[in-house]
Amino acid sequence: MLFHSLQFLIFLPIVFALYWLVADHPTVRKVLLLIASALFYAAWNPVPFLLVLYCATLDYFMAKLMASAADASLRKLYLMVSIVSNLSVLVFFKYANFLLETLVEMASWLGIQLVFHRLDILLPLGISFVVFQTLSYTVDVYRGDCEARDSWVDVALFISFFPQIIAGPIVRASHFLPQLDARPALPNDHGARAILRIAKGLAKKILIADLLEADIISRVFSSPETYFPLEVWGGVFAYTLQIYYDFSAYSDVAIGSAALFGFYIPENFNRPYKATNLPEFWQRWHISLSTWLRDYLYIPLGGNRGTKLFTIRNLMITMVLGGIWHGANWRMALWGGMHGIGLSLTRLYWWRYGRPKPGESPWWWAAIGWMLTFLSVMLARIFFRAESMPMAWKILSEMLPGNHPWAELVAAPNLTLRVLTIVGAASLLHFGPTRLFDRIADVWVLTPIPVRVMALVGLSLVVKQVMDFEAQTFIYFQF
Amino acid sequence: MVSPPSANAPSVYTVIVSSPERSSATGVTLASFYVVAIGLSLLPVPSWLQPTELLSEDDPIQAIAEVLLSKPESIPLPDQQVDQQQAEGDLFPNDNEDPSAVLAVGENAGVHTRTLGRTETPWVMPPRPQLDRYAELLGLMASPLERPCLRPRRSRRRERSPVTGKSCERLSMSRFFERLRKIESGTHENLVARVVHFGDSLIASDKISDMVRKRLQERFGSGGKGFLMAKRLNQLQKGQRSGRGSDGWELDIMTAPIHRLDDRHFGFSGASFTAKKRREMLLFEPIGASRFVDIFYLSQPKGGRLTLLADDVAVGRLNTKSANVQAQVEHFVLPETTKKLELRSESANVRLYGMSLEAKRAGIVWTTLGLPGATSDVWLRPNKEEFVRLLSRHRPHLAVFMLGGNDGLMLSKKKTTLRAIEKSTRRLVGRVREAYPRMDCLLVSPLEAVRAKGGGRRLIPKPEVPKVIEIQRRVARKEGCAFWDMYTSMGGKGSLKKWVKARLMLADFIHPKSRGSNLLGEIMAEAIMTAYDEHITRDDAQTATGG
Repeated sequence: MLFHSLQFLIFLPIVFALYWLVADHPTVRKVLLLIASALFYAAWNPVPFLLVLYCATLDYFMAKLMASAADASLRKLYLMVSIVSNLSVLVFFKYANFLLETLVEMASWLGIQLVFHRLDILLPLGISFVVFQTLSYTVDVYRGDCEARDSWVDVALFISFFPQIIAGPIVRASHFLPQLDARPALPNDHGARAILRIAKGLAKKILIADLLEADIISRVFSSPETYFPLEVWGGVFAYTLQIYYDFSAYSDVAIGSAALFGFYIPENFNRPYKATNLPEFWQRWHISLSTWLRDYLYIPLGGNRGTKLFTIRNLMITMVLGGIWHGANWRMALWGGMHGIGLSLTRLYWWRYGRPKPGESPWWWAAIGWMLTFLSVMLARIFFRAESMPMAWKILSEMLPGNHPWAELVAAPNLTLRVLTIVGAASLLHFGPTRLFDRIADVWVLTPIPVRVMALVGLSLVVKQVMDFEAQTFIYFQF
Repeated sequence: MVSPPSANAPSVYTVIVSSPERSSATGVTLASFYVVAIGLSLLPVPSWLQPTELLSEDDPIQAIAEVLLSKPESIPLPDQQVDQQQAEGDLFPNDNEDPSAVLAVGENAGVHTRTLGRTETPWVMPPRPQLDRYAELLGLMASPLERPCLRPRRSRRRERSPVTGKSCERLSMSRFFERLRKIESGTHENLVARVVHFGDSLIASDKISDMVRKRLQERFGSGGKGFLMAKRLNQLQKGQRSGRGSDGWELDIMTAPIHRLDDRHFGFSGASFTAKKRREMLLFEPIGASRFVDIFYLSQPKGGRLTLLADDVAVGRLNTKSANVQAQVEHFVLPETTKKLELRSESANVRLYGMSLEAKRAGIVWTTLGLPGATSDVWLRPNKEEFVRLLSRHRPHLAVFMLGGNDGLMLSKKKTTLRAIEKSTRRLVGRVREAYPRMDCLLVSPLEAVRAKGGGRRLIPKPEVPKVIEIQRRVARKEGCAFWDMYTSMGGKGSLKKWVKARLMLADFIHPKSRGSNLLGEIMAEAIMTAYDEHITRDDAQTATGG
């Protein structure tokens, strides 16, 4: 079910009303949310939800066994069973074709001719998020960060909670499960903020992300040779903005929807394009994934506790695997590798010249850092979005002036006023002062209900006027 | 006994809203939002004030059920993504080759006036006295559109199907008519209603369809020229419905004998044009207020490059070279003052299907896709995936099929069977629907056909034509398409004699002259607009009575 669909707009208030009717009955309210989550997921296809339940059931028993095992090696064995089985699900459903294709390709390098027949495997929506989330449960239980749950419903609900099952934010078991125990509460100001958050997410998705996609991005990325260099730059810049607005919109609706049921889900973004270096970018971008990779991959690999070379190795492994997590192809690995190289270069620079403290660098140095960071993130996005590696190179080559006459270098008839307006507004919203938006939320909370209602109706009318096209799915659905 | 509230007691509002511990205010906010949104959607207010128009559809419950049960695509491919910018068309000047041959505007059923529900000025059917004269002379029967019931369930918004006579919630073409109603009400800026008109030589000449287009655009406005082939297929085709250009474009057409078809890359228009060398040009002018251009082409491993020039200034480039052979569509936005468009091949082997021109304006976009000699099965020849893919990018709201004349001819020569005609007609409708499932469809019967004996002195009606018509009528019912009986409208059996006598037919007794085509176009437009008027009159009446 798409958040910005009529299905969801009907689904949400019904579940909300039923939930608060039974809020005093823990088991009933949890079962209700589990059923709602199943319906939410099954709106796309009911069969893969069985896979979600399989992961939940397996990890429920593994965690129980871990809790009851006295021997540390036995606990480790149960953890390994959980990790291997969950990763097997991910590998089979998401990476089987990729691995087979790579194998065939490598064999051809050795002169062995194999024929690759693509396996007809359905890619379950949000499988990467589901697996990361369920793994966090057994790992947290193993580490003692949370207790094994007695209730299977708790585990199943943690993994399948509908606001974040498809595209996160990835929630830790140690963070989410305790919230199931307490009687939920929704103070008026939390509720008001939750509604504003959902409205904000939908507006970001429909008024910015989808419009940019339709107006310029899909065209530039499908046939860059058709466009003048300035337009290609515009398309890539627009995509850089769009992916943030698209994904953060999903997170906004997820966080807002969860809050309506009294759950707190951590933030996923913090104005990422304001970062002045790549490590800071990853502290602001897809925070739930980057911290997951840090805690469950980078640190277990050794983190920065070894030599400098060892640290760089761990960084590269983490980022390349993080890239492949986004998509089963080498293009994504390259994208992750680019970020790994960027992070490593930043580390090398800091090791050589020292890491500047916040506010220590002069403004122009921070500006250069911001520009380099933004440019590298933007250019790496080409590999993230392009449909193939040759297409990515083609887009890059079309951004160069080449032998275009001057008139073609400045021509940009496809960067229409609407595109420029949306890009301008999106940039202002992103780079504008954070305090201003916090203040808007504070005012919203104090606003009388009738005014809030009219504002929401007004927004829905604006959205309807703009949404003259079919809604796009969220970009991160495919991961 | 209820005690009166004390003066100091907090109001209900204060209790609900002001208490920070309570969750009720959130529920009240959500509930109020939904009440206002649903209320606005049900009230007879301008549609821009309605958060959703689902509730004002013929059958809101069914419409909502469709939305609820629809499944989103898991991962949309870039080329499946809908481009809303393609939507909005320009004023397509009436482009009759022989303006003097156009019938004077007339009317055969009195002047229609109707006060539109949401606009100030009623649309008035202009008088058309010559049509009246011909109606009497030829015995025109003005057959109405036959609209089968798509949804027979009962509800308060029911219509009676003229086909079955049973109560009906939704007739075929209702969706298209609703779109026309929105356009006519003027509340939807830039909303276009796209029509794709498939046919044979009667349509390839774009005379009948041109008159229909003209009449509908007089009422609903023009959204643009629609799809234009790269070049004319032959001299019969109107220049305004295609580009014109240099001689180096090689035509591949799907009506060619099967053994001569190298491949099936005909797009959805049935023809492609390949530049064999560089510097081949195609000119499209005048383009009116066109602002959006979609170029339909084939990308292929040896594909060449193409430049799009607006008033001699390059505004876009296209490289048709790619690893795979695949039909593509590329969208361009034109400068507002553009008067003419030129496509120039920069290298050899550029294969084009044509281009679609639309402007930023509400109205009808009526595309003509006629091929001389086409039968219903010929339209199944293009590569299916390509046909569906390109047509889905064009996003038509109504498909009109005016075939059957050549099928009848083949039937009379025993080169086909009724069963084969039915099968291919159904497959064609299904294939077009696959491109855009929410599209309405209209099947139009062929004209009367005759065998000429004695040097044309004796014209004997062919018995095969009514059989083909019955097949088409049956397909329309089964597929949920509207049907218009042009055969009956022109006077029925034996009417062609009168048409020949009135000098409305060419010497082949198959093709109407311009005047005859215009007459057919007039009565077809009349049939469509009458059905539209019935649709909205019934709807307005139901709204007025609260029914």
